[in-house]
Amino acid sequence: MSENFNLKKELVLERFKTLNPDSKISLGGQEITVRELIKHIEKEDEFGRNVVKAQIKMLQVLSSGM
Amino acid sequence: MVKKFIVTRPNWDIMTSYLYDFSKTIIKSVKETKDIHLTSIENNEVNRINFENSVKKENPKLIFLNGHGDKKSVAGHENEIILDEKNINLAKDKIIYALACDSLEDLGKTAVKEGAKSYIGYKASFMIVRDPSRESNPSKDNNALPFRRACNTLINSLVIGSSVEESVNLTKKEYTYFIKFYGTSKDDPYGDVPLIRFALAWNLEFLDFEGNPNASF
Repeated sequence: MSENFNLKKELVLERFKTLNPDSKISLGGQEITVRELIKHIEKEDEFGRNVVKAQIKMLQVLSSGM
Repeated sequence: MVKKFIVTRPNWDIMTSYLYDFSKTIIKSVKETKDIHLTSIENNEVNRINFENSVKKENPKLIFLNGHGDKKSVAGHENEIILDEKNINLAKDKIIYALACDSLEDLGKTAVKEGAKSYIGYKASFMIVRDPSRESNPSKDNNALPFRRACNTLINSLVIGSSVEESVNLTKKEYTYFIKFYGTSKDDPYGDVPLIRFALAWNLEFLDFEGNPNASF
Protein backbone atom coordinates (compact mmCIF):
# COMPACT_ATOMS: atom_id res chain seq x y z
CA MET A 1 0.00 0.00 0.00
CA SER A 2 1.33 3.48 -0.86
CA GLU A 3 2.72 5.93 1.67
CA ASN A 4 -0.07 8.29 0.64
CA PHE A 5 -2.70 5.70 1.56
CA ASN A 6 -0.99 5.02 4.88
CA LEU A 7 -1.12 8.71 5.76
CA LYS A 8 -4.81 8.88 4.90
CA LYS A 9 -5.47 5.67 6.82
CA GLU A 10 -3.79 7.02 9.96
CA LEU A 11 -5.70 10.30 9.70
CA VAL A 12 -9.01 8.48 9.32
CA LEU A 13 -8.23 6.06 12.15
CA GLU A 14 -7.43 8.91 14.51
CA ARG A 15 -10.76 10.54 13.73
CA PHE A 16 -12.80 7.36 14.19
CA LYS A 17 -11.04 6.64 17.48
CA THR A 18 -12.50 9.86 18.90
CA LEU A 19 -16.06 8.56 18.33
CA ASN A 20 -18.19 6.34 20.54
CA PRO A 21 -17.07 2.83 19.51
CA ASP A 22 -20.61 1.50 19.92
CA SER A 23 -22.25 4.05 17.60
CA LYS A 24 -23.76 2.34 14.56
CA ILE A 25 -24.27 2.92 10.86
CA SER A 26 -26.92 1.04 8.86
CA LEU A 27 -25.84 -0.39 5.56
CA GLY A 28 -28.29 -2.58 3.77
CA GLY A 29 -29.77 -5.02 6.24
CA GLN A 30 -26.79 -4.80 8.56
CA GLU A 31 -25.48 -2.46 11.18
CA ILE A 32 -21.83 -1.79 11.76
CA THR A 33 -20.27 -0.17 14.82
CA VAL A 34 -17.46 2.33 14.85
CA ARG A 35 -15.36 -0.36 16.52
CA GLU A 36 -15.93 -2.65 13.52
CA LEU A 37 -15.25 0.17 11.05
CA ILE A 38 -11.89 0.68 12.73
CA LYS A 39 -11.08 -3.05 12.39
CA HIS A 40 -11.84 -2.92 8.67
CA ILE A 41 -9.59 0.10 8.24
CA GLU A 42 -6.78 -1.59 10.15
CA LYS A 43 -7.12 -4.76 8.06
CA GLU A 44 -7.12 -2.67 4.86
CA ASP A 45 -9.80 -4.90 3.33
CA GLU A 46 -11.98 -3.60 0.48
CA PHE A 47 -14.57 -2.18 2.84
CA GLY A 48 -11.90 -0.58 5.02
CA ARG A 49 -10.25 1.05 2.01
CA ASN A 50 -13.65 2.42 0.95
CA VAL A 51 -14.17 3.80 4.47
CA VAL A 52 -10.86 5.66 4.16
CA LYS A 53 -11.88 6.97 0.73
CA ALA A 54 -15.26 8.23 2.00
CA GLN A 55 -13.82 9.85 5.12
CA ILE A 56 -11.20 11.66 3.04
CA LYS A 57 -14.01 12.80 0.73
CA MET A 58 -15.83 14.16 3.80
CA LEU A 59 -12.72 16.06 4.92
CA GLN A 60 -12.29 17.49 1.43
CA VAL A 61 -15.89 18.70 1.43
CA LEU A 62 -15.55 20.24 4.88
CA SER A 63 -12.29 21.99 4.07
CA SER A 64 -13.19 23.30 0.63
CA GLY A 65 -15.80 25.29 -1.18
CA MET A 66 -17.20 22.10 -2.83
CA MET B 1 -49.21 12.09 -23.22
CA VAL B 2 -49.30 10.27 -19.89
CA LYS B 3 -45.91 9.03 -18.71
CA LYS B 4 -45.72 5.77 -16.80
CA PHE B 5 -43.74 5.34 -13.60
CA ILE B 6 -43.32 2.24 -11.41
CA VAL B 7 -42.11 2.27 -7.81
CA THR B 8 -41.34 -0.77 -5.63
CA ARG B 9 -41.75 -0.23 -1.89
CA PRO B 10 -41.03 -3.27 0.27
CA ASN B 11 -41.48 -2.66 3.98
CA TRP B 12 -40.48 -5.73 5.98
CA ASP B 13 -37.43 -4.79 8.06
CA ILE B 14 -35.94 -1.66 9.57
CA MET B 15 -34.00 -0.54 6.50
CA THR B 16 -36.88 -1.08 4.08
CA SER B 17 -39.22 0.70 6.50
CA TYR B 18 -36.99 3.76 6.20
CA LEU B 19 -36.87 3.56 2.40
CA TYR B 20 -40.65 3.08 2.36
CA ASP B 21 -41.01 6.20 4.44
CA PHE B 22 -38.56 8.18 2.29
CA SER B 23 -40.63 7.44 -0.83
CA LYS B 24 -43.92 8.68 0.64
CA THR B 25 -43.13 12.18 -0.60
CA ILE B 26 -42.72 11.27 -4.26
CA ILE B 27 -45.80 9.02 -4.16
CA LYS B 28 -47.87 11.89 -2.79
CA SER B 29 -46.63 14.44 -5.32
CA VAL B 30 -46.97 12.12 -8.33
CA LYS B 31 -50.53 11.19 -7.33
CA GLU B 32 -51.40 14.88 -7.66
CA THR B 33 -49.99 14.99 -11.18
CA LYS B 34 -52.33 14.19 -14.04
CA ASP B 35 -49.70 13.55 -16.70
CA ILE B 36 -47.96 10.72 -14.82
CA HIS B 37 -49.49 7.28 -14.28
CA LEU B 38 -48.02 5.74 -11.15
CA THR B 39 -47.92 2.06 -10.29
CA SER B 40 -46.71 1.57 -6.74
CA ILE B 41 -45.99 -2.04 -5.74
CA GLU B 42 -45.95 -2.12 -1.95
CA ASN B 43 -45.26 -4.24 1.11
CA ASN B 44 -45.63 -8.01 0.57
CA GLU B 45 -46.79 -7.37 -3.01
CA VAL B 46 -43.19 -6.60 -3.98
CA ASN B 47 -42.32 -9.97 -5.47
CA ARG B 48 -40.78 -11.01 -8.76
CA ILE B 49 -44.02 -12.00 -10.47
CA ASN B 50 -45.85 -8.79 -9.60
CA PHE B 51 -42.85 -6.70 -10.63
CA GLU B 52 -42.44 -8.48 -13.96
CA ASN B 53 -46.16 -8.35 -14.72
CA SER B 54 -46.39 -4.64 -13.88
CA VAL B 55 -43.40 -3.73 -16.03
CA LYS B 56 -44.72 -5.78 -18.96
CA LYS B 57 -48.23 -4.32 -18.64
CA GLU B 58 -47.28 -0.67 -18.05
CA ASN B 59 -44.03 -0.39 -20.00
CA PRO B 60 -42.93 2.54 -17.80
CA LYS B 61 -40.20 4.98 -18.81
CA LEU B 62 -39.01 5.26 -15.21
CA ILE B 63 -38.62 2.57 -12.54
CA PHE B 64 -37.72 3.45 -8.96
CA LEU B 65 -36.59 0.41 -6.96
CA ASN B 66 -36.36 0.59 -3.17
CA GLY B 67 -34.98 -2.37 -1.25
CA HIS B 68 -31.98 -4.46 -0.48
CA GLY B 69 -29.49 -5.13 -3.20
CA ASP B 70 -26.15 -6.60 -4.05
CA LYS B 71 -23.88 -6.36 -7.05
CA LYS B 72 -26.08 -8.58 -9.16
CA SER B 73 -29.64 -8.02 -7.98
CA VAL B 74 -32.28 -5.88 -6.31
CA ALA B 75 -34.80 -7.44 -3.94
CA GLY B 76 -38.35 -6.94 -2.75
CA HIS B 77 -40.37 -8.34 0.13
CA GLU B 78 -38.30 -10.57 2.43
CA ASN B 79 -35.37 -10.31 0.04
CA GLU B 80 -37.08 -12.02 -2.90
CA ILE B 81 -35.03 -11.00 -5.91
CA ILE B 82 -37.13 -8.97 -8.33
CA LEU B 83 -34.47 -7.84 -10.80
CA ASP B 84 -31.31 -9.65 -11.84
CA GLU B 85 -29.53 -10.66 -15.02
CA LYS B 86 -32.26 -13.21 -15.85
CA ASN B 87 -34.97 -10.57 -16.27
CA ILE B 88 -32.82 -7.50 -16.89
CA ASN B 89 -34.31 -7.28 -20.39
CA LEU B 90 -37.25 -5.63 -18.59
CA ALA B 91 -35.03 -2.57 -18.21
CA LYS B 92 -34.82 -2.04 -21.97
CA ASP B 93 -35.53 1.58 -22.99
CA LYS B 94 -36.10 2.58 -19.37
CA ILE B 95 -34.43 4.67 -16.71
CA ILE B 96 -33.86 2.71 -13.51
CA TYR B 97 -33.09 4.31 -10.17
CA ALA B 98 -32.17 1.67 -7.59
CA LEU B 99 -32.09 2.93 -4.03
CA ALA B 100 -30.34 -0.21 -2.89
CA CYS B 101 -26.86 -1.38 -2.02
CA ASP B 102 -24.20 -2.22 -4.59
CA SER B 103 -26.36 -2.89 -7.65
CA LEU B 104 -24.80 -0.29 -9.94
CA GLU B 105 -21.56 -2.27 -9.86
CA ASP B 106 -22.66 -5.22 -12.02
CA LEU B 107 -26.42 -5.13 -12.57
CA GLY B 108 -26.33 -1.49 -13.68
CA LYS B 109 -23.73 -2.24 -16.32
CA THR B 110 -25.64 -5.31 -17.49
CA ALA B 111 -28.87 -3.31 -17.67
CA VAL B 112 -27.32 -0.74 -19.99
CA LYS B 113 -25.74 -3.47 -22.12
CA GLU B 114 -29.22 -4.98 -22.45
CA GLY B 115 -30.76 -1.71 -23.59
CA ALA B 116 -31.63 0.33 -20.49
CA LYS B 117 -31.31 4.05 -21.16
CA SER B 118 -29.63 4.63 -17.80
CA TYR B 119 -29.21 2.92 -14.45
CA ILE B 120 -28.68 5.06 -11.35
CA GLY B 121 -27.52 3.41 -8.16
CA TYR B 122 -24.77 2.87 -5.66
CA LYS B 123 -21.44 1.17 -6.34
CA ALA B 124 -21.22 0.11 -2.69
CA SER B 125 -23.62 -0.09 0.25
CA PHE B 126 -26.20 2.63 0.74
CA MET B 127 -25.70 4.00 4.24
CA ILE B 128 -27.89 5.79 6.72
CA VAL B 129 -27.49 6.64 10.40
CA ARG B 130 -30.63 6.05 12.45
CA ASP B 131 -31.74 7.26 15.82
CA PRO B 132 -32.64 3.91 17.47
CA SER B 133 -35.29 5.59 19.60
CA ARG B 134 -37.15 6.56 16.42
CA GLU B 135 -36.93 3.40 14.38
CA SER B 136 -40.63 2.60 14.80
CA ASN B 137 -41.41 5.98 13.26
CA PRO B 138 -38.81 6.82 10.59
CA SER B 139 -40.53 10.06 9.60
CA LYS B 140 -39.62 11.46 13.03
CA ASP B 141 -35.98 10.35 12.88
CA ASN B 142 -33.92 13.52 12.51
CA ASN B 143 -30.74 11.52 11.91
CA ALA B 144 -32.33 10.14 8.73
CA LEU B 145 -33.42 13.55 7.47
CA PRO B 146 -30.41 14.38 5.26
CA PHE B 147 -30.53 10.91 3.68
CA ARG B 148 -34.25 11.28 3.02
CA ARG B 149 -33.71 14.69 1.46
CA ALA B 150 -30.95 13.49 -0.85
CA CYS B 151 -32.92 10.43 -2.00
CA ASN B 152 -35.99 12.54 -2.63
CA THR B 153 -34.00 15.12 -4.54
CA LEU B 154 -32.90 12.45 -7.00
CA ILE B 155 -36.30 10.96 -7.72
CA ASN B 156 -38.02 14.35 -7.76
CA SER B 157 -35.50 15.65 -10.24
CA LEU B 158 -36.01 12.64 -12.51
CA VAL B 159 -39.79 12.89 -12.31
CA ILE B 160 -39.85 16.56 -13.30
CA GLY B 161 -37.87 15.66 -16.41
CA SER B 162 -34.28 16.56 -15.57
CA SER B 163 -31.65 14.42 -17.19
CA VAL B 164 -30.02 11.53 -15.37
CA GLU B 165 -26.73 13.43 -15.14
CA GLU B 166 -28.42 16.59 -13.84
CA SER B 167 -30.38 14.60 -11.27
CA VAL B 168 -27.32 12.74 -9.97
CA ASN B 169 -25.28 15.95 -9.83
CA LEU B 170 -28.06 17.75 -7.97
CA THR B 171 -28.19 14.91 -5.45
CA LYS B 172 -24.42 15.02 -5.01
CA LYS B 173 -24.77 18.74 -4.28
CA GLU B 174 -27.41 17.90 -1.69
CA TYR B 175 -25.10 15.38 -0.03
CA THR B 176 -22.29 17.94 -0.10
CA TYR B 177 -24.52 20.62 1.42
CA PHE B 178 -25.52 18.35 4.29
CA ILE B 179 -21.94 17.23 4.93
CA LYS B 180 -20.98 20.87 5.33
CA PHE B 181 -23.96 22.17 7.22
CA TYR B 182 -25.83 19.32 8.96
CA GLY B 183 -25.42 19.23 12.69
CA THR B 184 -23.93 22.61 13.23
CA SER B 185 -26.76 23.07 15.71
CA LYS B 186 -26.39 21.90 19.31
CA ASP B 187 -29.07 19.25 18.81
CA ASP B 188 -26.84 16.18 18.78
CA PRO B 189 -27.39 14.45 22.12
CA TYR B 190 -25.78 11.17 21.05
CA GLY B 191 -22.80 12.61 19.18
CA ASP B 192 -24.05 11.16 15.89
CA VAL B 193 -23.12 14.06 13.61
CA PRO B 194 -19.58 12.87 12.71
CA LEU B 195 -21.01 9.49 11.68
CA ILE B 196 -23.87 11.11 9.75
CA ARG B 197 -21.36 13.21 7.84
CA PHE B 198 -19.27 10.13 7.13
CA ALA B 199 -22.29 8.18 5.84
CA LEU B 200 -23.33 11.12 3.65
CA ALA B 201 -19.80 11.29 2.24
CA TRP B 202 -19.93 7.54 1.60
CA ASN B 203 -23.17 7.89 -0.37
CA LEU B 204 -21.73 10.89 -2.22
CA GLU B 205 -18.68 8.84 -3.19
CA PHE B 206 -20.59 5.79 -4.40
CA LEU B 207 -23.70 7.25 -6.06
CA ASP B 208 -23.33 7.15 -9.83
CA PHE B 209 -24.99 6.02 -13.03
CA GLU B 210 -24.39 3.95 -16.13
CA GLY B 211 -25.75 4.71 -19.56
CA ASN B 212 -26.97 7.84 -21.26
CA PRO B 213 -26.37 10.96 -19.13
CA ASN B 214 -28.95 12.88 -21.15
CA ALA B 215 -31.78 10.38 -20.70
CA SER B 216 -34.87 11.90 -19.13
CA PHE B 217 -38.39 10.85 -18.12
